[in-house]
Amino acid sequence: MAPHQSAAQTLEKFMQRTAIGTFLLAVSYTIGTAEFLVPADMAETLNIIQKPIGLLVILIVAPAVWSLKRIGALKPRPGCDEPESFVKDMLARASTLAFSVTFVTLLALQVLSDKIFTDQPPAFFIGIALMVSLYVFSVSFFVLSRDTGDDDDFGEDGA
Amino acid sequence: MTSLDNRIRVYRAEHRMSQADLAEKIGVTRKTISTIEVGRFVPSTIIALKIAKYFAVPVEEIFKLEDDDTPTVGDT
Repeated sequence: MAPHQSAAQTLEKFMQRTAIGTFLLAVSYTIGTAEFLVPADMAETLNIIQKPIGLLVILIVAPAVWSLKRIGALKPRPGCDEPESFVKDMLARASTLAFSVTFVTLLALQVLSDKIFTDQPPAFFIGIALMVSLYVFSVSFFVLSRDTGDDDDFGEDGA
Repeated sequence: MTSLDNRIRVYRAEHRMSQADLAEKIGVTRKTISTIEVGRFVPSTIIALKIAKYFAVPVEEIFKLEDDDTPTVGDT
């Protein structure tokens, strides 16, 4: 952790790491879903590739969770339910968008499961739904919360 | 449509503060201040009150509703 990092910065870093972890999980689900569509020997190779991704997600998110615990951000704060940062607000928007898209995806999969991929198990369709959900959440979070690099020229250094 | 206008940039200029300085004082990140200034993020009541408190002015000195036709209690 960088020196002099404020609680707000720690919280934002946690949210960014969570989104990175979510994107990696989406990649993991993509590989897991692809395993149903490829020959057995290739599926085995994909399975080997998939496993380290889970470990990578833990390595990315766990230190951020620890930092949150250290600053006491995991404790409930009654009366402070409003989003207190831009990034937190964008995380909420990305979550809402991901939920909506997942719902539509589930409806589409319900229709498609009778027409294509009829021989696939339920795990295949659940994998697709989770993959879409995680991709939409992580990508929309990064797009919504990107820094536009606005002017900041009144400080002692920048003047 | 009603929008929220703000004068944070003006107050920062008066006090020769960077976005990072103000962010540190009120306990948010620079990105939050930056996005409030350009109207990309509507701040919570808590953040608005903290900014006003820091500059020692009423909150409506910094934040103002644009194109707002909400009647007041005295209107008939």
